[in-house]
Amino acid sequence: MRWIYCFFFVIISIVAAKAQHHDFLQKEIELSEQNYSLQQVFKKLEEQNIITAYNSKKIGLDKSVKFPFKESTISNLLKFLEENHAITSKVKVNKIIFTKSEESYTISGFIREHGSGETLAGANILVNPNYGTFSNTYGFYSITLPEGKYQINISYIGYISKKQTFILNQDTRLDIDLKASSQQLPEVIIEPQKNSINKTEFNRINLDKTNLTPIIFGTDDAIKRLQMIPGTGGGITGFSDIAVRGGNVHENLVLLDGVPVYNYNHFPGILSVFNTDALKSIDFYKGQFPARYTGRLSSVTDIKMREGNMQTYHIGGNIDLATLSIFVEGPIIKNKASFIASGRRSWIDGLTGIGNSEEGFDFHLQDINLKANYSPTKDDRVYLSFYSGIDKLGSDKNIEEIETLSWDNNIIALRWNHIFSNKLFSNTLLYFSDFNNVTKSVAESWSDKAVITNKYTLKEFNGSTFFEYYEDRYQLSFGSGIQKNVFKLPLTETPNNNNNKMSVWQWKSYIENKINLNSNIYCNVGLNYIFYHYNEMKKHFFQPRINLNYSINNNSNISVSFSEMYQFIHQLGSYNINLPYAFRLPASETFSPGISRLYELKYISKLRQQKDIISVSLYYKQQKNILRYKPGQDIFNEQLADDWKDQVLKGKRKIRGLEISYYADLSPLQINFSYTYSKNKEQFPTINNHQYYRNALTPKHIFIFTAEYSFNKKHSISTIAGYNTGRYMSIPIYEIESIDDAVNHIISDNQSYVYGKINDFQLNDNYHVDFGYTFQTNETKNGKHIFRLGVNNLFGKLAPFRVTANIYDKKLNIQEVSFPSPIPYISYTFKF
Amino acid sequence: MRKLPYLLLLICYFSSCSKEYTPSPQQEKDVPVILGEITPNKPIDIILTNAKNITSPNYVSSEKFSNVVLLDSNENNLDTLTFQENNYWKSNYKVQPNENYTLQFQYKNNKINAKTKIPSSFYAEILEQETLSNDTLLLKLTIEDVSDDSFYVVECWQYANNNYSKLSFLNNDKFTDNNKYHELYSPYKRLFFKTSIPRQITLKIITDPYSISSEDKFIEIRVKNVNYNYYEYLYNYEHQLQDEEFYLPNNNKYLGVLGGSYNIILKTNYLHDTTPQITDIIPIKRMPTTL
Repeated sequence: MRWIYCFFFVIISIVAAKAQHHDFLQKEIELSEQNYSLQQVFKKLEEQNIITAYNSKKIGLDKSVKFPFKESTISNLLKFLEENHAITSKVKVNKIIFTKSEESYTISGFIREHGSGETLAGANILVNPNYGTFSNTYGFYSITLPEGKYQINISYIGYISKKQTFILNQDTRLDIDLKASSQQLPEVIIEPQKNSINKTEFNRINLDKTNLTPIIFGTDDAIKRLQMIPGTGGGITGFSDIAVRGGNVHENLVLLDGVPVYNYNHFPGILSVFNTDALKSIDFYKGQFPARYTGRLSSVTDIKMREGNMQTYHIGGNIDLATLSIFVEGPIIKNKASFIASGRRSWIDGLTGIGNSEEGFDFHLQDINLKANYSPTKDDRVYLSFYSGIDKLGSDKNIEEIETLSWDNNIIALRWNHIFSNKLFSNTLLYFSDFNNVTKSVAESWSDKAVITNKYTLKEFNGSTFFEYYEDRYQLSFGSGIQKNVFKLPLTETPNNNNNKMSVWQWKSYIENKINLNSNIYCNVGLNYIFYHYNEMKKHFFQPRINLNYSINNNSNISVSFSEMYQFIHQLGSYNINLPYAFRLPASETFSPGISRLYELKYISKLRQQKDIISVSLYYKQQKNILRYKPGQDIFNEQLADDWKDQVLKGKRKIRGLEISYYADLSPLQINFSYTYSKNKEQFPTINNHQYYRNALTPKHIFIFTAEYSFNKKHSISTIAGYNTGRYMSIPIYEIESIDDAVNHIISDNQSYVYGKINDFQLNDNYHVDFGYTFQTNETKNGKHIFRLGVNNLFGKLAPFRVTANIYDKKLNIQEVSFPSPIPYISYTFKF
Repeated sequence: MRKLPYLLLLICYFSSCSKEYTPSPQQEKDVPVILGEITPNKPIDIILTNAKNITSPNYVSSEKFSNVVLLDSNENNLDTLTFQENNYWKSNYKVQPNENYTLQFQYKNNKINAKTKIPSSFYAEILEQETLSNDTLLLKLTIEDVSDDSFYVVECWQYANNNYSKLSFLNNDKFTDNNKYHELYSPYKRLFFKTSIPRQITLKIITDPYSISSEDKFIEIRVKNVNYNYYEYLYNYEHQLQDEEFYLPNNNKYLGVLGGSYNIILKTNYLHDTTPQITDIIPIKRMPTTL
């Protein structure tokens, strides 16, 4: 019975209190039409014997309030404050507690790798239930949320996800470390994400992952990994070039820590200049270009170097059939400053003695990467990066037979990251990029013999700053910078005169708005502006970028986008091989900058409990002001006009395409399939009666299949199978009489041969099947060791890098020269 | 020389992946060919024939040409060409400089039009002549009264022993396409240049030493003002003669070219009997001969 009395006592007390409460709220209060400060409002309530409680700092006592009524009940007054001034109230007997309703706070910080302290760009920060973002390029994130209790979930491919529950009642700095996972990863990552600033714009390749796929010479190559992505297969198998969506190989912007690398291949394109020992990740864009990128028409490859371990020292290296590389990293000041240094060199010349030959034939390549960073405060970080890559080919010891080709890239960059507030991040970059190409040869004239040295240089100086501002469901990036390019062209006629210097100034600015309009619709609207000044040419260029993305559900996204890109450096060389001795020339009034307009519709979905990912893209690309050599001008045989303007034709291109990729995680088996359909037409004056004609080097269909199977953590096998329909070429079809014979009435055996329709002949289809085996030890105190063994092109027919059509004895023969096959490889990688 | 075995190995390795094949029959088998040059003061002689498709070597086209007529720019019929031997079609109609003409014919039930323009007249003469050696002659020419955007082709011919033969020559004039584009190798058989101002040209002609014994001998410098299409065709043709992997572009419904030309022929005597070591400079002024 006692319990029953108690129960009724409580009920009655509550009802009484409620009744009291109700009475109290119905009290009338007198007001005038004047403006009150909140402090005055609270005083008026206190005059009614009501106790008020509030946090004066947060609520803002000076805030002006104007009531639309002269008399009001306390209840109505509180309602008015809540509705019009976001001030909520809790009533307790005769006490009112005022708080600022929906107070928002910002949680920000860096996402880092546990142990090394390497920042992780693009980590997904998801806050239940409806908020999310990604860490930026430097690992920084910021997310603004209403006051409350949340669970934050941080995930990054290749790392163990981390969940953390916290109460957000003030601005919070939360740096999070993620531990690396031993789980297998997809080679290329494309992720649809709902409720977060979108990441479907690009493909990320995480270079921390051991590359299990078969690789030529056993040399892991950053650029070659991109060739698995649909739409990048226009290059030649075995070469480190990508021809993206029908563009040529000169239309790819390749950035190393934000600095353009002008020649990203070692000779003759079988290896890129990027030593993967020193690299962290690659972000690859072939469409949906964010406004911060400009300068090339077809793609952006943004490569990030590692920063160096903040905690412990490591040494590692790799030897394969082509190169030998080594790296060392470690702290300079523990948790404050670190460094990484790496070097790579071809070793074949050293072993065979070719490089030591008295006659002096020499071929070698080398790369050196250095990077150091220092965090003086938790809000500042300074980076210093250096890269130098050299190629040398030829013989220069015998004065009678000098014939050398050498080139080098050098980059030095100083970067400062600063967090102004938990919502404002800045990045300031100063860099110098330098590309030199030197050819030496002996030229014989009628009476003379002389060594001719042609030196081509391109220097780029750049200073820029950008800011990223984070708001709830909104991210604003903006930046500006100034750039100077100096081109120095060789004058072949006068070897001592190398004053053919051209200077170009560019002032670049951009603004990018990433907005989550609601939980399903995300858009990124941006504009890139360039003021371009070269000689008399002073022009403004605006490049709009729009990407609208709709999340159909938690697993599927559909997006439409438009990007306009300009290319201010024309490059003249081979269409499908990025030759170092290709000329790079500034856009001018005569040869306006290249323009590319890309329209794209893209669908991405996760299937089978989010284990599989399918991506489908449809695009249409228009390019204008693109250059090609005039028919008859031949870079290989040095049949080139003195004035480069006489070497080229300016034209346009139209490309349509469909790209499908499918990744399936059937652990321990992982498969990836990609398909590319392209239709590429171009138009140049004087060719094909000024009508559009088929581009020769874009295959219509490309299929790539990769599979990786891990028996356990140590043993893995993999395969790549590729197939593409044949490329096209023009071949001589017709034999006619010679014009000399016809005009001079001579009967002879002299004949002329005439092409058939332009690019109408289809070469043989190409295919290749590669196999690889990888053995890797676990990471212990004895280090980690990886052995790779395999065969590229075990069977197949690779795409040719040279095709000729010859007529012997009035019979036409086609000769295709491609990489030899099969190409076995073996490599050993270690890390302590 | 330790490098040689490795280089050899490398070459063998790479050459092993070279594949040669003959393509299956391609494209149309019956394609008309027009070859000829129309010039004022000379009868029209044009070859009309069928091209041979080298991917179908056993196929011989039997397509015939008919209703071959010459039209003016208003499509008025000026003359009907008559068939001659060796596929020549002839007309005695005299074309005029600065006029457009169309050669129209019936082929495979289609009417095909080949258009050409006869360029304007000009003036050319030999200014200086110098014998450098037994077989080398230095000539300086001038070309005047040029019209805007004229295309010139210069050829050197030698007449000896009752035969004409084309001579090679050297030239260093920067304005010529030979020296601008570096697509043709020196010594040249044809010199190409575009000009809208008077020009002087220096030719170092390499004569045929075996013709010394001939009594009736001379050198002809044929200077032609040609229309753009003909200029391009001759340039590409010359390129093909020097580079066996270079072929003529196919830009028309027919192959070949109907060239329009205004020709001036400059004649000069041989000076081979001059002592080679002594350099003679003989100024020559003579009226050009037009054909």
